[in-house]
Amino acid sequence: MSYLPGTASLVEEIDKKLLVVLRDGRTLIGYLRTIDQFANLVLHRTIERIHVGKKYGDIPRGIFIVRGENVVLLGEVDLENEDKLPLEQVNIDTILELQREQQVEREAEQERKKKAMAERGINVDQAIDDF
Amino acid sequence: MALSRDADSVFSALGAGKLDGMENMLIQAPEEEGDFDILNDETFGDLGDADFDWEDEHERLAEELEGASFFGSRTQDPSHGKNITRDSGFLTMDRGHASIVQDDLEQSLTRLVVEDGDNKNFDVNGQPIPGALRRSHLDELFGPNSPPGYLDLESLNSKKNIWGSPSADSPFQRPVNNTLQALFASAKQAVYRDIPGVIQDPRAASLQHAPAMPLPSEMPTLAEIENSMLARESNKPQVLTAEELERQLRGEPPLPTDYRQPSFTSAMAVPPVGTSVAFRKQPSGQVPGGLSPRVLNGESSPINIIAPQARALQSLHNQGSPIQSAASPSPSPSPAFPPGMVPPPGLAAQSPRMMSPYNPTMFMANRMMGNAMARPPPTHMPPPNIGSPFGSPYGSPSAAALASRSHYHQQQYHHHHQHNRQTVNPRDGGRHMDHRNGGGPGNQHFDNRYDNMNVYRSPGQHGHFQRHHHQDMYTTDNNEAEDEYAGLMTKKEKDWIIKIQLFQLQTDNPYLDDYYFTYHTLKKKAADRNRQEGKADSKDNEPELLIPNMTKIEPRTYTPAQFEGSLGRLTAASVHNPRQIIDVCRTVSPTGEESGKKNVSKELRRYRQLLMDIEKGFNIILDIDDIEKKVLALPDENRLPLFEERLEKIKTVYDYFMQDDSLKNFVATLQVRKGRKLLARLMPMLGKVQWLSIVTVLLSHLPVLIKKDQDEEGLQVLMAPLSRYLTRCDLECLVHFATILQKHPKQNEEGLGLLLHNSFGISLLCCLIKAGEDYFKTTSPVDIDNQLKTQWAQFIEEFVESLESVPKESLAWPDRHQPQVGEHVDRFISNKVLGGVEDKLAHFSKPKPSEEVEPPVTSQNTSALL
Repeated sequence: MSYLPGTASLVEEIDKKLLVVLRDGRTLIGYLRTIDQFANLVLHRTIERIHVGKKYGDIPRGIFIVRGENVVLLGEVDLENEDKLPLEQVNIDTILELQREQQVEREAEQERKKKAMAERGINVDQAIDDF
Repeated sequence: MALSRDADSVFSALGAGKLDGMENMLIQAPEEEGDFDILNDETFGDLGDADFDWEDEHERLAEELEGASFFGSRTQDPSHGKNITRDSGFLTMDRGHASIVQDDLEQSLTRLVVEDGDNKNFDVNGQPIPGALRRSHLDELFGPNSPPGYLDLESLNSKKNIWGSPSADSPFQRPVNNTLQALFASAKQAVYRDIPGVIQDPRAASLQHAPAMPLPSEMPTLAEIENSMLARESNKPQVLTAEELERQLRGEPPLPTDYRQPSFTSAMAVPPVGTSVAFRKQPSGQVPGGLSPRVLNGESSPINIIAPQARALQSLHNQGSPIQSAASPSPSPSPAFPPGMVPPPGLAAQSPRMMSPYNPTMFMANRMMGNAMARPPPTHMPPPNIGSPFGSPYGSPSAAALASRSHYHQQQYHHHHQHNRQTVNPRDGGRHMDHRNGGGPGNQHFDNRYDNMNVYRSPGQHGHFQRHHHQDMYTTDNNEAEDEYAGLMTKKEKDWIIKIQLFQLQTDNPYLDDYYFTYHTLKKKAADRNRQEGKADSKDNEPELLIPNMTKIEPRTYTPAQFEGSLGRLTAASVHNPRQIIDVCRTVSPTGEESGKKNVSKELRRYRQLLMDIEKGFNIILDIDDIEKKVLALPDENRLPLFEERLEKIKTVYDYFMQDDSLKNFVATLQVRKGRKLLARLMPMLGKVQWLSIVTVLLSHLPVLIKKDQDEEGLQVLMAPLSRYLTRCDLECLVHFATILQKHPKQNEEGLGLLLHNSFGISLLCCLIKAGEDYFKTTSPVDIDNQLKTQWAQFIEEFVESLESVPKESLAWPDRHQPQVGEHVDRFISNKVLGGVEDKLAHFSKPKPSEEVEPPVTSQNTSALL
């Protein structure tokens, strides 16, 4: 941004605490250390935050190297208000359990939809969406 | 190595790829068994000698290697037979394909050469003793002619290194004799050359004596060798700390350079030669005192790093020795360090200024000791100046180890560091980065940065301690730790990325690539300018972009990198040089269709062709627009060619419309909405003559067009330019046009009636009549040619007749209400006729129902001129 107005660059975000959403739906929070021209990211002290409903849980992950094409979006974490989330933090196992349940529900839903569609003669191959 | 793995079947006996020396098949001859019939002499030569005792051979070789002290002092890991951690198998294993080739080649050559004597390398049968030739390989392996894979990655890629490492690439001096010592000495010399500011070091002269000594004390340390290797291997810029810079400026010898290179990654990759060298020093039990001055040249061993502290402070010079001697039995890290601990705090006490520069040394010492020793906290780095790439990996893991050992040390530095941190944190990010990376870009940025840093840090480290006292200590370990990792990306790297991104934005025609952004930027600039000048140039409001007329740098035709010495042409596909996957060629489709289909397809084809032509026409129009924009940027003389080009293009489109005599194109094109638009855009650009012909053509085809256009009223687009043109016409033209219109009526009894039904037609008529009225008003009756007048009158009569015949309801609305129509008609028509059409004339005066109501026409004006 400082180099040319009207452009965006990740250079501004280096060494900041960022929240990165990946294409597979994962949410990572970490310090962005280095980038390259493909927007590959090196995240430091990363935690993976799993959200289920109003609860979330963190899994410490360490150093992540993310291939640029898998990033959906990223944003700076507000350090002041970071701990004032309206969400409830639970421990990892709990959240993983919840996530599993959520996944099961979703799959069941998908199945029902697919069946309904098939009854109506539409066969949909489930395409994997980018979250 | 893939090569060797592929060759495994053939060369497995040679132990390619095996790490453990015990399994090294080269040493271990394959055992003679019945199953190994395939693996006979033809495959392996004569290695499968029954008398060949691999165990003995192995021990012998091991001794050799031990003696060469590659692994001499590494007995701290007794669990590993050979030092696997350090030695990636590099030495013990066969060095892969190339070396195998070399080996074979050399063997064969030597075999050829060998006469009676000089066969100490060969056994009785004339076969080479495995490993005996090894030593002579070292030159080829490490000398300047070594295969690129081992040392010099840069030579692989002939292109310039974009990272632009400032490291001088001084090659190894070819060793005089084929001894290890000579090799190491030469390596050390080479390393010295790498370090700026050391060249004139008088102590370097003492290095010359190195080769003479059996166990030279000036053997380059691990650090030195590593650095020299890395200077070639890695393309990263050298990181200079502020202390180093200051030191250089002061003319002092630089500190050990180990920490400069991010050598942590290549700790394993660096040839163990370097590794071994360092520790060779220790068992040699060199006189520390004698050693230290040389050591302090900046190339001290990791253990001896502690010594440089002594160097700088003469008072502690003697302490250097005990430190060294304490450190020299390196296998025992624990005892080494605590004694080593003492001086630094002592040093710290005595010269706080000097404390921090030596932190890296302590740090490196620990690292070289194989992480066994406690390290000073990673945070000890004088914060703003050292890009701390090398510090980072040892951050957190070491902290724990550290805490237990060097608590005092840690506190000292921790404390110190925190205060330093405080100096950095309050500053905004940019400056923070700047200083953090101050040492980063290395020599090139040295001058730029040094001023900053000088200012920032005031003489030496004093600034630190001044701030030390002033600032509060809010210590968030998090803060420190992440600051420690901050600056991983040097400014140079950031600039590189920005450069790539900006480069992608470069364009020759901004209007084309991003019209809206260009326009927006121009407007903003103009607004800013206006604001600055106090709205002085409100006239100059057009935000026209002057397309800079720079000649584009000839794009260097990209030739893919070609590797030398490779068998065949290796292709590396990249964005610029994509690998061709398939060859797509157009094939003429067979025309075996029925005639009916053919006709249809022909129609279709013709239609498509028409559309294509319209598109091409539009492209030309756009080109004309571009030319018009470019013209503004150029001075007058340069404009001419552009003008000509413009005219040419206009003519092209015009010709398209007027193509052949039958002009079948014309109607067809005008049927398509875009074609009409094309004509409408072309018309304003036409010259007078062209105008005439075009309008003639248009009018002559009008009935056809109108017939097909009844519903859409698409011809209206032509009205705007037409009306402008017609108002400028003289009577002759008008009459001309009028006659054309009159000549139509093959289909209809009312010649002009058709026109009246169509909005375009009626607008056209109104326009004509208005033009006529204007003309009649402005020109005195004398000047009006009688004949023309007659013709015009006829036209008006016919117009009125048509008007009579057409019911009012079906009268189309002209685009503009033309009150003059009534007036004009009055000129020519007698009263009684007029009465019949009064209401319809009123129609002309009234605007369209959607618009506001205008006063009715002056149809009461019955002044007949005739």
